[in-house]
Amino acid sequence: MERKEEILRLFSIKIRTILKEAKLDYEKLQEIRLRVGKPLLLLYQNREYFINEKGQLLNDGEEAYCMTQNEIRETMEYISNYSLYAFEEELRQGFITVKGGHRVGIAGRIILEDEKIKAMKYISFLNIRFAHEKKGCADMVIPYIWNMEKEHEIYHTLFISPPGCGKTTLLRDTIRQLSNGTRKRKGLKVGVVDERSELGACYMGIPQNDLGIRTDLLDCCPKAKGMMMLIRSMSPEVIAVDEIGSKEDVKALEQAMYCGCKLIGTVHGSSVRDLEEKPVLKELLKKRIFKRFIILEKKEQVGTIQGIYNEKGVRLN
Amino acid sequence: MKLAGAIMVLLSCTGMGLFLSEQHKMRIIQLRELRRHMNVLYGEIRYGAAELPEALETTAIRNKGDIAPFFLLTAKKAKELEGHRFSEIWKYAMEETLKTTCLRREDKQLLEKLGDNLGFLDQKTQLATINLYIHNLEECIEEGTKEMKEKVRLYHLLGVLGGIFITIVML
Repeated sequence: MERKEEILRLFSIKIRTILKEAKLDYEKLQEIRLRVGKPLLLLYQNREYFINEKGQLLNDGEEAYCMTQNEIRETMEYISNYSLYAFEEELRQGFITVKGGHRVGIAGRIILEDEKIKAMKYISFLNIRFAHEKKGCADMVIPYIWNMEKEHEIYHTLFISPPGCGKTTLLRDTIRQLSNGTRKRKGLKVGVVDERSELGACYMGIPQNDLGIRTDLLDCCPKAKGMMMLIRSMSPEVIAVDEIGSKEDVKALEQAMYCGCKLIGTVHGSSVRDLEEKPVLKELLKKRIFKRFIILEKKEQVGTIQGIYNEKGVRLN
Repeated sequence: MKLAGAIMVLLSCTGMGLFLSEQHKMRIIQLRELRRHMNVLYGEIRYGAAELPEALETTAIRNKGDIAPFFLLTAKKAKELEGHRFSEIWKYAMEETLKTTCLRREDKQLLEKLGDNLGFLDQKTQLATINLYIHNLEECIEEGTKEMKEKVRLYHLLGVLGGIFITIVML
């Protein structure tokens, strides 16, 4: 299905009409925000726009079209395929992934039970983020990840970047390329633990993003448990995880490494030195298990690689 | 000739009586079919957490009959996501597929009311709504079954007697 159709189908009739009038390039549409009683907002070509009833993009919200409660409800019906009851677990997490890999962030009134989030009621805020795969963005990185001494192996690799710099997008393409291989190098069996459903963006268990032909994926699974499950059941050569941060993650990483798997993962930070100051990662880094560090920055555009370093801190690119 | 005419009148009135009694019987059969569909739908939502279009499709595939086309059409239209509320799709499918069935107006009203309450509720309330509908259906089936014995006999009798009466009047 065409991307435009895929996106428009998510919205109420009124919003569909407005978006059709706007004649947008849907490849450049990043986000649409719906809030009850507030103007409809778009993030388009990296800029924020309001939109009026005629579909005109505006810089301020005075004449913008405002959302009603009924429209949010209608939109939720389409997003959930008339089956909001089937998404209770997703509502607890605060988002639903729809066909195409787009993510709908949801906010409203939370119902607690025994201090745990039981359900969400009176949904009044939606943030629809559109999936953007960037095939080929890892082209520069892949040659440095392959182990120069052992033919069919990669180095343990960490992608480091501040939030919003494209590390998940880069990791996704790295997984795909390692999994598919090339004419010169056979692809590797990759196991992905996709705790936040951002790498694969699974819809009904099927990844909506291309992660490669030899990739197995555990969706919405905690990283620590997921890594061992994959090792026991899918015999991966590489395990990929996003956003390593907790003690349990690091412990599971080490166990996976001792099982012979190569690891690629992402971490929040702006340099290796940054990571050394985090107590959870400090010990892991001291052991110099990770041989490649790919650091991203948000200088000119998202996904800019600041540098590729080895375990000694020597820049390789 | 008169005899032939009289026989034809008698046969057609008897036939009419048989037809009405068959309609009544079919109504009960179709209500039971509807109940089976609803039980499957309940199971699909409760245990499979299936989305509504898939759940409706499954019930139609598992329970072929006069009511299955209604569920199939609802599922088909729901999957299209053309921008119609679920209750509209449900009503449309009812109009398209149930007009040739023997369901009465009150049966259809009850079914339409169910459609107004599907799709946007949490699982517990959704299941309770379907359960309530099944309960109401069972009451209709029980009432209809009790009536059936008397009415079938009545229709047969009326058919034959009506035929005889008209024949006598004509003769």
